[in-house]
Amino acid sequence: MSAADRPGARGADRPGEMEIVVSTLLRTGLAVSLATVTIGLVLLFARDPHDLLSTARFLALTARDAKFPHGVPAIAAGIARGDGEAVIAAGLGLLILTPVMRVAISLVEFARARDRAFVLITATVLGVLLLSLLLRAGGG
Amino acid sequence: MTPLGFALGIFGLSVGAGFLGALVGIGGGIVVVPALTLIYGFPIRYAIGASIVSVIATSSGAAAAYVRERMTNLRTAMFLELGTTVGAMGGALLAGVLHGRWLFLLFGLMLLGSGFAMLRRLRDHAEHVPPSRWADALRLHSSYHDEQLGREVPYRVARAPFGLLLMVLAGLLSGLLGIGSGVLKVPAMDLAMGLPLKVSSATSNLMIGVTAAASAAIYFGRGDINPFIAAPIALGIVIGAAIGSRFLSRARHQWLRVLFVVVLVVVSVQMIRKGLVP
Repeated sequence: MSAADRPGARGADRPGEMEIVVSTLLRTGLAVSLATVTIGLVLLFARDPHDLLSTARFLALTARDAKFPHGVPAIAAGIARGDGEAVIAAGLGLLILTPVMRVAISLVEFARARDRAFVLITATVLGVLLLSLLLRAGGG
Repeated sequence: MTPLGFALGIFGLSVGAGFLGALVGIGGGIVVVPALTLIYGFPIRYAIGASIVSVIATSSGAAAAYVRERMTNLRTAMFLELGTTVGAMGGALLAGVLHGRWLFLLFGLMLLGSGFAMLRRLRDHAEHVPPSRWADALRLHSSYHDEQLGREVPYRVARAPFGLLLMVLAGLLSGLLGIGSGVLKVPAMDLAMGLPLKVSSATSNLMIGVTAAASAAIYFGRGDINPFIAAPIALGIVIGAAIGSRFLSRARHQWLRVLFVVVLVVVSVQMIRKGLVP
């Protein structure tokens, strides 16, 4: 294998396979999650247009102890009900998962290149990310 | 305050923050947290939660472009993310137990530091790059295409373990305060590890996303990311940054930078005061 075939290694002037995969993934993840957030925001307001100008509703939405879904089961149930906050939460969740997927895909690329040191490094980073995801995923 | 009024207000503010951030080379977190706490009076933990997701959004957008231009050093980023993710996780857990006052104080001090860092920008980085066994073994050295020179510029990476240590610190600050902490990551690579400035800032951009994801996951699960507050901010910042990056190539706003530093110092004083006299 030549140096140029290695993911992320210095090579030709054009972007390598790893660069294109990572860039496309980041762009797609961002677009999908922001579209979901927008839909959720519209749903939240469209449900009851009177809420748009209600001070009580604003206080309820932003209170220190405001209730909103932040665990996977609650978000799934909320989406099924057409709850705007749950759809926004799902969009924000996808946003958080985008860099995680970037690391996962890098792991595949390093494994394909049989770059043992970087398979180990990338797997460790992925492990830390999954740990922080699982630490609280059950809550709410 | 009504839901519509708040959503429109904070959206407009975020567009402005993203726009300015792209022009002077910082993320939006530095603007969002003070705005939510000082203007709207939200608890700082909510502000940090909303900010950290917008940090991921800005990073993903900018990093996608830099990676395609091969400005980003993917191997160095991956290696240093060992430190930033661990630090960020620790920071997010720590923020959960620290009193809000400490977060205000730390945030204020960080703003002051960022102001000084911005004034000192645009120096040449260290020319002498000592050999590094780690960087050799991990093949971190690389090259990038320089637009102005019109050719490929090779560079070597140094002090990899020291850089990793600095990144734990950068991650901790990011997780604790809900910022990208590019203000620490860029000098760590540019000054300590000998990467060219352009490569450092592109690589920092990519790392910011993963760093923020590690802490955002914890904030999210803890219920510190209020969807209604976070949504208009994330959308606004991304739109503002997209517009700002279009203006970037056209003008070098030196006066804008100075103005921004003045604003940073003023806001920093407000945040520190709020930490001292709640």
